[in-house]
Amino acid sequence: MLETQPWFKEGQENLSLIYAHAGIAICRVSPDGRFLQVNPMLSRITGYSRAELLEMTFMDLTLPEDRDLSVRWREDIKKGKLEFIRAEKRYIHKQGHTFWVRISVTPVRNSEGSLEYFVTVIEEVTERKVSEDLLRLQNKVLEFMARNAPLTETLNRIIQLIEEQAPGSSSTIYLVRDGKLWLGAAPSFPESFLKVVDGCPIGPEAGSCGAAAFFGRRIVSTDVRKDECWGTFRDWALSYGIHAAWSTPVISHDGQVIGTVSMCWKEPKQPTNRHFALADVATKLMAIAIERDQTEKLVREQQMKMIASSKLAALGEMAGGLAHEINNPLAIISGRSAQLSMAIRHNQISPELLLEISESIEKTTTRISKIIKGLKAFARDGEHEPEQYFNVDHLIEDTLSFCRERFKSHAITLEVNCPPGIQMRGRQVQLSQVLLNLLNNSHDAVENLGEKWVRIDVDQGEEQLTVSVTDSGRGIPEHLRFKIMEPFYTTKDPNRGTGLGLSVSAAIVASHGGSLTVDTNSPHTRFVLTFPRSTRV
Amino acid sequence: MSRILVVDDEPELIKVLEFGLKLAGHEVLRATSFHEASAIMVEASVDVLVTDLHFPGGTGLDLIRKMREIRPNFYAFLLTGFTDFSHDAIEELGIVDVLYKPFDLTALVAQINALR
Repeated sequence: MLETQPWFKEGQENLSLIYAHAGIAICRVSPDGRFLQVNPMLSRITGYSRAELLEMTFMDLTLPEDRDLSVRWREDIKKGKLEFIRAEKRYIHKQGHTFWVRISVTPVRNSEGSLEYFVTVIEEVTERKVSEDLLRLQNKVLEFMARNAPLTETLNRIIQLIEEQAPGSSSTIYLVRDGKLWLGAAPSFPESFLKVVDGCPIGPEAGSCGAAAFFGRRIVSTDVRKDECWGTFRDWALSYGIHAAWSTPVISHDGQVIGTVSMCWKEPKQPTNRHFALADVATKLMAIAIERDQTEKLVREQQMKMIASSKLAALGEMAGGLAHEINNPLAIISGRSAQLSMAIRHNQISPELLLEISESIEKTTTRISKIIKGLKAFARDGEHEPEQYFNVDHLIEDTLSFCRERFKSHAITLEVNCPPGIQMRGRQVQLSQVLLNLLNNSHDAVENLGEKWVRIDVDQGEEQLTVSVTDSGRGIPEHLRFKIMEPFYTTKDPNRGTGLGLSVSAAIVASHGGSLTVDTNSPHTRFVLTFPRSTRV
Repeated sequence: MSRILVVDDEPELIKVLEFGLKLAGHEVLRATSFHEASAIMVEASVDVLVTDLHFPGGTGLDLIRKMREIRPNFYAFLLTGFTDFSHDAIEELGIVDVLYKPFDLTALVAQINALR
């Protein structure tokens, strides 16, 4: 018999030692789920004593939501549908919190094949599960950021995920700038709550968030009624039902506090490591989101400055034509006035002539003031111009008012096909600049050709509005199609082109949600501005 | 009295020039394009050409150059709204004067009266 062998006895002792000291819980469970035998590790991870466990069933430990599935597994094993089970599920600790375990359940059958008991091995995996959850959370937010979502939306998303991961909490995010707290996001709080903190100086008694920003470290207030950091904010916080708040500062890559994230609770509460881990992930994400937003703002500002300076360059290209544009009508006015004095001197003045002269002067003055108006509109500060609705035909007319002469002087036919009354929304000055850039390019491209024409077409489709500038040129060579959109690339004489026109135009159009493309199907050079429906009325 | 061809694509300006020159006793012909102007120059014997620099179909300089080939003897005045006009062509084409818009009509008429 095996039992009589000395090595068997030794083996059995070894097995008992392993059972008692194993880093994982091992137990025998009856077919109806009662614990028959448990090792000390099961007590450690569940919080129940050995004696308590032996009075309990598997189901007592299982989270209610997971119970149905567990019953099904057990039945499937009993019927022989499943040979064993390996799964992850949630248990409830004696103290009430949920934790994740990985279980492996194997049936032990007697010689007749009927089920005697289960051998179940249980390993706690909460930590791994939590870090997986946090990783998933982190990835979700990062994906969101990668889609260029506005900062507020990203912050709201971060809060949403914190609140999902820490049920019962309500979170707030504040940005820290110039030693003050500014509201970042707090979707679970009413507006009146947010206004109180917005613009408040940080400090040791400026609430947990103000203190966390002030000290640059986590401030955990487990009971708002008692903790020091609340100062004059105590009653205000309590009035919104905040009884515990844990605030973690958001630190930028160069060590500055740029924000805080706070988890608020309706009752006094102690944080767990899991809460801290959650806050750490949230603040890291926030640091990325805030710094990214700041960088983008900087890039946008630079881009706006570039747009402004290239506007002057575009205007400079037109300047020669501009003098001509104004000198021509001036010649008419001065000529009419000379005509008047000649007529008087030669006694040839008649009411008809007087009328003709005065009407001519008036008409010509209007012509000049139109040019000035167009110029004035163009010279306006496009950088800070708000988006507004305007008529596309007015935009074209205003732009042409000060460059039409340049085309005429080089005998370039200019044609405009724009149905009147089409409206769009945008920054008019900047879009006028785009049009002027394209017209300048077309002008320079065709001025020495035999066939010289430039045409502007406007087409209002169902989904989009297109404005195209076509000229009699033979198109853009394939290998230059991308290059021409790069900054500083130019085929023009250095005195004539900056190489910024198209890249700046593309940036302007993109900032309106549209695109600037070269039409490769057109036999002539054709640049197309496409605006989505949202920029239309 | 001279026969004067006035070329400009601004009808208003032509009217003014015509009035001033006619008042001074000259005969005035009008054109608003290169094509029209050269057709008149070929048919009528024009003494004086007052032409704008830019108009449909060509430039005032092209017009003077072309006409010099057909009939070398006419006085040419060039009108321009541009301020950066290159003066090289003036001597080559025997242009009497370049007048920058806005120009002095009385002075132009006086200049033309003083020819011959």
